Amino acid sequence: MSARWTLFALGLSFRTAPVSLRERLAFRAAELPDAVKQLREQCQCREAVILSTCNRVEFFIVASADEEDRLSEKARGFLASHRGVPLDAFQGALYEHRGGEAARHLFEVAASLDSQVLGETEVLSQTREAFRIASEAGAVGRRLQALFDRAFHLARELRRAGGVGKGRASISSAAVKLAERIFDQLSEHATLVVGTGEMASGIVKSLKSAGVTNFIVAGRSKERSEAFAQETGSRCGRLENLQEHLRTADIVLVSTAAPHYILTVDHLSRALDARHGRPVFLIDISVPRNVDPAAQDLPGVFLYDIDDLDAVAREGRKQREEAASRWRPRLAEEAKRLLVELSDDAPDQAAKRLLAQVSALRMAEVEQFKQSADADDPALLKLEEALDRFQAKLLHGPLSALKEAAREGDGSAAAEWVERLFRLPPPETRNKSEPLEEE
Amino acid sequence: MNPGSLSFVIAAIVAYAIAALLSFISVGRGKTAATWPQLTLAIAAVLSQTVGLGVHCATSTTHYFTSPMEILWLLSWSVGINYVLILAAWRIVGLGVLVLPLNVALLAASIFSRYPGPAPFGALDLHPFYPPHVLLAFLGYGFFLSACAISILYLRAERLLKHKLFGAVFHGIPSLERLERTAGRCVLAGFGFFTLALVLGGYLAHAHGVSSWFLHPKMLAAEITWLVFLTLIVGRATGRLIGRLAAQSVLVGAGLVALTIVLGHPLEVDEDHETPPTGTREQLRP
Repeated sequence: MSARWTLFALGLSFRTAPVSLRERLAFRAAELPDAVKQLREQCQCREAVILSTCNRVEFFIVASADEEDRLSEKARGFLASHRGVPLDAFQGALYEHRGGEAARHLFEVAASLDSQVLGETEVLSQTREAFRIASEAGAVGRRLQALFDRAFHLARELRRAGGVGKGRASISSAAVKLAERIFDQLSEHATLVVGTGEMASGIVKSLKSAGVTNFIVAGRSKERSEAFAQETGSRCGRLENLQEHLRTADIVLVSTAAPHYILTVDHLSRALDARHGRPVFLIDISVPRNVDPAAQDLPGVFLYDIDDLDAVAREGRKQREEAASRWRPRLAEEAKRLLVELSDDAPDQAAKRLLAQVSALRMAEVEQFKQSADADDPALLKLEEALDRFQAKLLHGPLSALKEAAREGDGSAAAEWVERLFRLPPPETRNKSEPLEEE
Repeated sequence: MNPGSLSFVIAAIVAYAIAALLSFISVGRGKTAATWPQLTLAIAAVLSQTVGLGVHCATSTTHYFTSPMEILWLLSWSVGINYVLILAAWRIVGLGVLVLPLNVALLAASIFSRYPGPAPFGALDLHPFYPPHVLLAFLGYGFFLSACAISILYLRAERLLKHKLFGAVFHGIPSLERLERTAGRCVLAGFGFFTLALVLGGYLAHAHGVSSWFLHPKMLAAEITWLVFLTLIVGRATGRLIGRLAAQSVLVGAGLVALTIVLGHPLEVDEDHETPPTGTREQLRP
């Protein structure tokens, strides 16, 4: 049995290639329409989609089965020539998937099960955009349409079911998660940022997107503090006024390079007195730590260092991984099923040709009978009805068998046997240069 | 308990038990949002209890709400109403873990507790202020007990945060701030109902010639409870009694509420006071 078309995926991702290589091979959005057309021409394939994100560059190709052996070489050649990077530079980072594996891979990519941060939402919109561009470039036919439609449907279903997108998987989001455990409306609480490190900037951005609006930045270097405040949309404070800031800020983020404690138990005790026991959430991401760990014992103080945040993020990643491992078999099953559905148009074609052939024979016999015998109209009608019933009964077995074979994945083989048994004429062949719409 | 009321109480127990199970599952899975099945079941249970109470009041020939059975029953009803309100307004799913099993226990205990049997109605029962007094007092108790349950959740959540235990239970409890605010609202509402109940109770005692009613053990416990919650409200309003200390104060207040309920037998009328008429409802009704 041989399928008449093949699904092929080729690419590299963050798992196989460093960012320095990925950025050389990535396609810009503006280049994609032409690139996908060129890929189709160069690989002589029927359908193609190029997915290019910061984490991956992948081709999804549907081609004639006759081209299967040469597809890999052509697609690799296209990637190298189009981006002007020698094939040897990235050959080892490439991976390939064929048939059901390629479909499963696409489903996992769209559902964010193959993402660097499991369950992130961006990859689905990037996949949608890649599909839209390929569709507009006329490079998508019914097979990739069905494949991507199913991928989007499954991604939505997975998201609705929750799990993979649940749980905070990064340090910044873990800080937000902890803040939300203490404060109900983050927008009502001021945040004091001590220090201007890169990680602090990430946490500030996460807190901002979670609703915090009131930030005060206090650092040793006035210039850096001002730059940080401008970058993050914060107000600039003074480190000398730390005690005063501690009275008003409910969230305190400390991230400096100081080798000693900036916030001691004494600082915090005095601040807590002034706050009348109002809780304070302290995030100390400095290494070495800048907040005395003994402060955690003070009532109303919730102090977390980088390891604690990582523990929360790990918990989130674990939750997502568990959810992902529950979904992977389902996606593999869906991929297999879709491929069977798409591959098995052979039984449909065979059934149509069989019906057409037997109907033609029956009608020819009826015509012959009309000319040779002197039968009246009612008798002819009865004869036609009898032949109809006979045809239906005769073909019931083969047609049912074709349907069953298609369901079980043996459709093409069954179609071949029907063609042989009934001596069916070969199917009309389609010229490769025909537009996809006619397929 | 008559058979008519009993069937409604059993229906309420079943609904509360299923809601409690769902609450445990929600918290165990770290969910904070899927509240509608619990809410529906709690509403059904409260409605069932309300009908049961109606049937009981319509057929009772004794003092209202002086027997342990009736007290437990009314307390559970009040806590149930509070739970429905809190769940609908602030979605504190974790509360069901404490309140719903408590309600199942209260109702089960009410079934098995001894009913004192027929005792004649007193004039007090027929005073128009008596039913609102009882209702307001129990609504106040319900709010205080709900505040107590929320404070337990607060202390638990605070402990988990302090000890950095980031498990499923940690994810199933709302933020400390929400817990504290909700407990504060419950205390405020309970205080309002309780104050009105105290005023009405004082008036009823005075009207029926109970001397030094404010020194009666039940009244003393109620007055101390009132003072504790007043202190808590003032402390919260001035920002001086919040967080862990506030939660612990609510627990103390709830203990006093329990004491008030335990001491809640009717006040005795002075011997030299004109004896109020007693008899059946029909005999006493003007």
